[in-house]
Order: sequence, then structure tokens, then C-alpha cells
Amino acid sequence: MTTSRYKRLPGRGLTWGGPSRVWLGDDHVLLVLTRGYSETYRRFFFNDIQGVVVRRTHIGKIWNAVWASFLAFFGVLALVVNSGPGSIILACIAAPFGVALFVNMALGPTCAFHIRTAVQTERLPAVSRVRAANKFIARIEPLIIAAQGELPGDQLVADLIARQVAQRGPSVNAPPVIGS
Amino acid sequence: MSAQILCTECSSPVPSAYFNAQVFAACPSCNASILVRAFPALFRPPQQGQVGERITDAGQAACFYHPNKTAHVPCEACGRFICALCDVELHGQHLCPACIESGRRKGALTTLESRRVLWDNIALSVAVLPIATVFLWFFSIVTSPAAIVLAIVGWRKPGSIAPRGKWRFVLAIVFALIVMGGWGVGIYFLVTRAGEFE
Repeated sequence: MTTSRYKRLPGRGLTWGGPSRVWLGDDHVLLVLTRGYSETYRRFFFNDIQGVVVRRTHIGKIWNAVWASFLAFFGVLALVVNSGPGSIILACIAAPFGVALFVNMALGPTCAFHIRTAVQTERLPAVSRVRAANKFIARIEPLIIAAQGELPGDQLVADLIARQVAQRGPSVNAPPVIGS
Repeated sequence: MSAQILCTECSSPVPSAYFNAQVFAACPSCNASILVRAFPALFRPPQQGQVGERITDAGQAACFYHPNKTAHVPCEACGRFICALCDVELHGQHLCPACIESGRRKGALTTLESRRVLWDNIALSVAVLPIATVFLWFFSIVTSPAAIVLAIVGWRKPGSIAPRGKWRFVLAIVFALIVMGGWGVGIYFLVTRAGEFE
């Protein structure tokens, strides 16, 4: 078995198809998508990762609203109903929604995490919280830098601009170059 | 793909000033809150694929798959001479396409595997589902032994690439044994008490 070479990375997500996790390999990040009775794998090699994009989403707030509304509904109902056993039953129904709300708030804001390589930009459903995303980046960034080398900030911007200008070609508004 | 990173909300290019910032910033196009990390690979020119050189001298070794191209390196698995076009470098090894395909099919090259069957999930489902669905409980007389067989067969098969314990197999066997025990007790009582009802 080759299981020992992977270490767990922060993040655990749930997609419509099933759960998703990310693992740290020797030279790559492994995305595991469980689909019932099989697993599919995507590998992102440190040498190929061009960038990561974390975007805050509103999913966490939506779930907060859902859990809070259920909690409020059953909570208020438990207070309004005068009978002792009825109130207790309604409070017991409200309690799991309160726990879900607390857990969702404790996990923090949600996000969409994407890894970009030369041929794809892939979302990692396993990294769905900002806190997990920050931990994930902190864990893999040194490994990517070790594989690719460090890029000084100034060179980063200069290279990008030079490349973008080269791709677009000379601007039509630019004055003609004499002698070319 | 060009050397730019796109906002994952609106797909517009993210300004380079946003790269490697320590805090989230609003996308200038859609106002989505984004954090971008860029790495040197973003600015690397795309690698050119190699083409095999044509044989110019009669004494030159030829590629096994392309007889008119010069041999570049021997395959480290089968020893066949291969040209630069056929040479696939994997974890520092030079392999030919046939060995890559063979290794992938046999599961010897785990790096190339993109899917695996989870036998533990199958065994556990076969054991538990007939009982969990309640109205299909009588199928458990067949599914329980089947779950044990599946667990025993699947135990040796390659499981998940990522770390994953064997507890689902154990749970499937234990659950199936309990159900089979229940069936045994039920049948025993049915047989021994059958005379009392007559």
C-alpha cells in the first residue's frame, strides 16, 4: 500500500456528489472526490501551480440565516406554548438548529478556493472556509517556493506587464516608431 | 492560457497589484472579495514539445515505434530504444508509452491513477442497506453473507490512495455476522416451535 506518503491538509468539504478532501504528497497536492463507491483523484504538482485564488462567498451567511430562522421559529413557539411538555419538545427541536448555527459561526466565513495551473483552474471543494484556506496556503506556499523558486515582488509585476503587452501587441493609440 | 489570473467570480483579469497581498481585496470588476497568490510558474514560457530527429546515418539506432527517427534513450522498464517523441519522463524515469499504459492498467504507476473503487464502502452498504431500509430486511439473508465475501475479497484489493483505515470492512463483517446470527436464531425458533403451532 502507498497510503503513508500522504499527509492530511486542512479542509473538508461536501459537494453534491459526496465528500472531498485534500492531501499533501511528496511533490503534489492530491484532491480526492468521493463519489459513492469510488474515488476520483486530481493532482496538482508544486512545480506546475501558477497561483491560487481565494474568493469569499456568502454560503456561510445563507446557512446562518437558515439555521437562525429555524431556531427562532421553534424557540419562539416553545416560549409561546404554555404547556410544559410541549415547550420542552419544541425546545428540543430548536436545540439542534442552535448547535448548527453555533458550529457554522465558529467555523468562520466561507470561500471558494481555486488552484491555477497552465492548463486548468480547478476548484478545491475541500477548502471551503477562509480559515482553512489560510492554513492551506501557509502549508503549501513554502513547498511551491521550494519547487519553483522565490519571485521578488517587483519582478513579478514587471514580468506580467511585459508579457501582457507582448501578447496584445503595440497599442493603436501609440505613436508610430520611426525607423522600424 | 495567458500569464494572468482571472477573478473566479467574473472571469476578468485580476490586476497584478493584487498578487501576493496579505489581505482580501475587492475585485475591480465585480467587487468580489479575493485573495491571490501568484507563483513563478505563472511567468514561465510554455514548454515546447520535443520532436524526434530523423535518421540521417544508416548506423544510427532507431526508435522502436518510429523506425525513421533516431533513438534518444532506452525505456527504463522494457529496454526498447525510444525517440524524443516517445520518451515520457515520470519521476526521473524515461519510459515508453506502452510501459506507461501497461503500468497504468496494472496499477503499478499510482501517480497516473485517477480513480479507485472503494470496496469497503460497497461491503458496508451491502451489509447495512437492507436493514436500514427496513422493508427490504428479508434480503439480508442473502446480502449478509455477500457482504462478508465482499469484505474478504476487497480487503486485499488496492483501496484509496489517500490514508483510509480498514474499519469499514470490519464493521461490515461484524454487522453481517450479527444479522446472520439473528437469522440463525429466527430459523432455529421457527423450526423448534413449529410443532407447537400444529
